[in-house]
Amino acid sequence: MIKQKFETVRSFLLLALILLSIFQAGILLVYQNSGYPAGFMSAIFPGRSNQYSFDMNEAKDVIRKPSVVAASEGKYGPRWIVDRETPWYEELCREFSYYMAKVLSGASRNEESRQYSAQEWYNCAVSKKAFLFSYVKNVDMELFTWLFGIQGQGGGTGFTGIFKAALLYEESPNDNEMVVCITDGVIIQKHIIRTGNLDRKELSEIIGSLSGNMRSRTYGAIGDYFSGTATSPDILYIYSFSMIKDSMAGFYDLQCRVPQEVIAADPYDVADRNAVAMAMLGNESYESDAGGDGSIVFVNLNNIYRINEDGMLQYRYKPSGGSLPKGNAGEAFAEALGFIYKYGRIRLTGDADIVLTGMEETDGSYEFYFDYYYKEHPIITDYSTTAGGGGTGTVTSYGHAITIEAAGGRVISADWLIRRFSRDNEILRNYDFIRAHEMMVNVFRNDGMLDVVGGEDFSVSGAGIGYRITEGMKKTQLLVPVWIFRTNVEGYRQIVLEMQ
Amino acid sequence: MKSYKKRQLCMWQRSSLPGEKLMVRKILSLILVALLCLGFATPAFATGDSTGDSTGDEEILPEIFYDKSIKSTEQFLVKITRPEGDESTIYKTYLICGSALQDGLTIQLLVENKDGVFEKYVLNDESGESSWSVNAYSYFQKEVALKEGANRIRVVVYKTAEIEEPKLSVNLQLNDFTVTLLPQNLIDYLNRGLILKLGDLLRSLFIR
Repeated sequence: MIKQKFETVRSFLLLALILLSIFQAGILLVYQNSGYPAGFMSAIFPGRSNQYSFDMNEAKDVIRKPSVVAASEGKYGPRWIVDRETPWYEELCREFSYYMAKVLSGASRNEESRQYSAQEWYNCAVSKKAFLFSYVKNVDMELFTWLFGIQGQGGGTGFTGIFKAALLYEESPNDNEMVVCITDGVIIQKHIIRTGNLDRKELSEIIGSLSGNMRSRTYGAIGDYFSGTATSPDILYIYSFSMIKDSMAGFYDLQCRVPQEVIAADPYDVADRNAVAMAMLGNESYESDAGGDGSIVFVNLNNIYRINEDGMLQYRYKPSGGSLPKGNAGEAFAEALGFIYKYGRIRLTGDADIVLTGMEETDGSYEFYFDYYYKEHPIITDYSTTAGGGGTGTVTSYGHAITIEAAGGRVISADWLIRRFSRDNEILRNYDFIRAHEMMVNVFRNDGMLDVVGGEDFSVSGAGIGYRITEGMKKTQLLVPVWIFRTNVEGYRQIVLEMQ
Repeated sequence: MKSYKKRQLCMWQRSSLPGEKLMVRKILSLILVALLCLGFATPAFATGDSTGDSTGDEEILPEIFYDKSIKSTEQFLVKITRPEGDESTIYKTYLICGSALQDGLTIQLLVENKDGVFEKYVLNDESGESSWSVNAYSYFQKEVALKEGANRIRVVVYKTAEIEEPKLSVNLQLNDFTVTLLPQNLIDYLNRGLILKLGDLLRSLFIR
């Protein structure tokens, strides 16, 4: 009897061991990291590891929204920026998605096609009663179709990507069809598409509501008043259409700080380093050490993370041998997005959004650039540091908040100037564009380059109000709004001026 | 002391003849009228001196500025971006815009009055000015009020330091524009969208 019971127990034990060994084999196949696989039970016992998961669809939904959504009352009329806090923002973004999907899947009628220029875009879209959508740069077609889940590569339209679009609701021939103007920065096309959720009457009502809201800030277009000058006609600038024109309005300062979570009080203290790891590396396993220059270094089989005391995160992939397959832009971007969003890293930015501001394709990889935005205002990065140079004193300059190189289903390198932003005081400042433009001209005048401004080739491709992160900043810094002009002159590509 | 004054007052009241009272009232009235006149006259001294960067409204401009026989010159000192030609508008104010091409310029606005003579066109910004200075490549945007019907506007641009010897197309640029403010009843008609509706009807007849 006792022997029988013993045999039964032994059988069950054997069965359990066999199951465990299969389980362990599965973990090793998936995990592929050295060290104790602490997070392998996360699927069954979610608990602590929930904060480290992220929804790719949600991340895509955020990152693919145009950087500027605006409503236009037409030539000489007011425009309004529809930002994320405006009631119709989400609806308008959904309309944009709908129409882009229709165009790129070939479900639209191409009525007109012409060469792109800023003047043509102004004539076609900005000077009309329309809703305007634009990205900072042309979003590559492969990336765009991946972001929006569109099959095919452009529906035979010939677009290389999507840069700007406009819903010309007043030009629509009837209530069932919408005229949509789209450009990739090379060609402009006008398409007729079956109306989405908002028909022209509803779009017109949105304009009416914006017009009736006295607190809405209004914009004018350069092309309305300064056509034929060097400044791009499709630029929108703050302009008061009211009787009282005192050119003063409230603009927020921004508190900009290195998040406490990414700084170790004592880099030589293991507990402090572990606390930083929790915020940045989630449930990854690692070995950590102090970098000697105030930084912390985390290393595991394939990855090196360095977090400098100025909040600069540097990631490098340690290849085990052989080159990585390049893959396509969508796959690479998925990895880049995952790098930003996983482990809740996105929450470190506070009140600022992260916006895709550029992409470059090299022989073996893709490089993606991201920048911070506070509402419609860019926060430009003009940052140099010797940190992370191994004490050699080498200065590294960063023109973007985040630069990620990705290929073959993984991130190869990443540089991220981690900052948390929060709104500070609102202060009255002069938003007069004419005055700011004169200040910009005076920069050239003071440098003895006034003749460049008068040259036929001179152009101002961007002008607006934003913020700037500069070198030498302390862990907490107050960012004040500044004028940012973009020109085509070497050495003056970006001119930043104080707001009065 | 008080009772003494009271007695004095009573004595004055009892002893004053009616004629004397009348005289006092007349004198007081004259003084009051004089004070009121001085008070009303004070605003007349409050026009203030011209400030800012203009030449001042009281400055006498060269006659050539007002010469209606002169045709528009090339825009070699200032590029006027608005208006680009004669225009019609439904708005009662109008923005005159442009970009300067040289340093040290003054822009003077004139408008034809009902007598057919050009006079200074005061800006609609409560400054009381009709001119301003500009430097090379800076933009300007000035608002003027329109009268119903045709408003014949002259934009005069000259080199500020050479105002004493203005020479057309050398240091003086003149450009004439007519901006017509449409009559209010036509504006109402347009606003009712009847023309747009007519356009829609025509389109629906001819376009599938």
